[in-house]
Amino acid sequence: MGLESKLAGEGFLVTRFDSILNWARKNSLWPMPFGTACCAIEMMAVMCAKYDLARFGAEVMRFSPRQADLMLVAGRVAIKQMKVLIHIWKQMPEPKWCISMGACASTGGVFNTYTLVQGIDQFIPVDVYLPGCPPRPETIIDGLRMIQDKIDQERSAARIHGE
Amino acid sequence: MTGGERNSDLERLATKFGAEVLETEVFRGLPQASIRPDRLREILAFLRSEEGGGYTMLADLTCADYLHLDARDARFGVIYVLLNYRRPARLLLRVLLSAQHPAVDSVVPLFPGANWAEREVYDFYGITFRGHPDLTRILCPEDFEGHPLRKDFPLAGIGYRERFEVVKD
Repeated sequence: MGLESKLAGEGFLVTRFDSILNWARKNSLWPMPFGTACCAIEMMAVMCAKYDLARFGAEVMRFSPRQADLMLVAGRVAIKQMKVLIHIWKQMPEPKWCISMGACASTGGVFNTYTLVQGIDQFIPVDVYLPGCPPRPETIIDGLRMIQDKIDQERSAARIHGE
Repeated sequence: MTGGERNSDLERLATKFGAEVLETEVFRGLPQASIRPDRLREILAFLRSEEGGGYTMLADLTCADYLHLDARDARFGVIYVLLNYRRPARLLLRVLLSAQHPAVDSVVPLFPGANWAEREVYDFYGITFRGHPDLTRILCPEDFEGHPLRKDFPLAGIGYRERFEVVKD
């Protein structure tokens, strides 16, 4: 193509568009913390110095859904609250991912009661379920790595054209 | 008066209202009285006055469901926890209500702070407070059916959870 002669001495590399896009996305996830219970405490722990989620590029907690691309549902969600969660999820711009953290968010946990949503996946799409009550910080890191692997498989054309 | 301890406020209350007061007792230092619902406002106004003991603060208003527990066929007990800050002293008033159409006068005119507490009792036990300014549900969703803290309400609910609309993008 003549690039070699044009950029001689400056250096360049060739890659696929998806690769570099996914690389950027997976290493700069901005989580939207939807912390409603004790899982949120573990979520805070994973942000702090000892476990330090910043090592994986996901330390920028965004309390505005419009700036976030990773929904972290940490804790039990009441039916009355589910409308709020759906609203926040819809406000998040594409592309977006969702982690259902802990037994309560994933299945209702021990709270088989009249108030509680028995798994948020009845209402919003979930990418990764984290087991535990609450999950250990290592599990959260593991879940984030799974999201990163998933992002790596993304084809942006599929996102745009729904292929 | 059961038990050894005596309480002058309970005695005055029983003397003044006679048959309205069903039972008085001092349980572990806490004087308590069970009453009929008909003259509740009068009784509370009396307890609030200096003469009745000066219980000027309604510290809590709650309810208990004595399903199959109370021999008098009184299913619900609406409980008023009264407080006199100056002495200080506490007194517990229990209004016994039957299972059919449990209703009692609202005490909002006497204690404005009872407003939300009465709404909560209405929400969870289905007790009607006559004369309440806005007796609507306070915690459960507006279109919720049933009163979940009644002992005969199933823990998993009666279908509201299952009927909730499922939306997926």
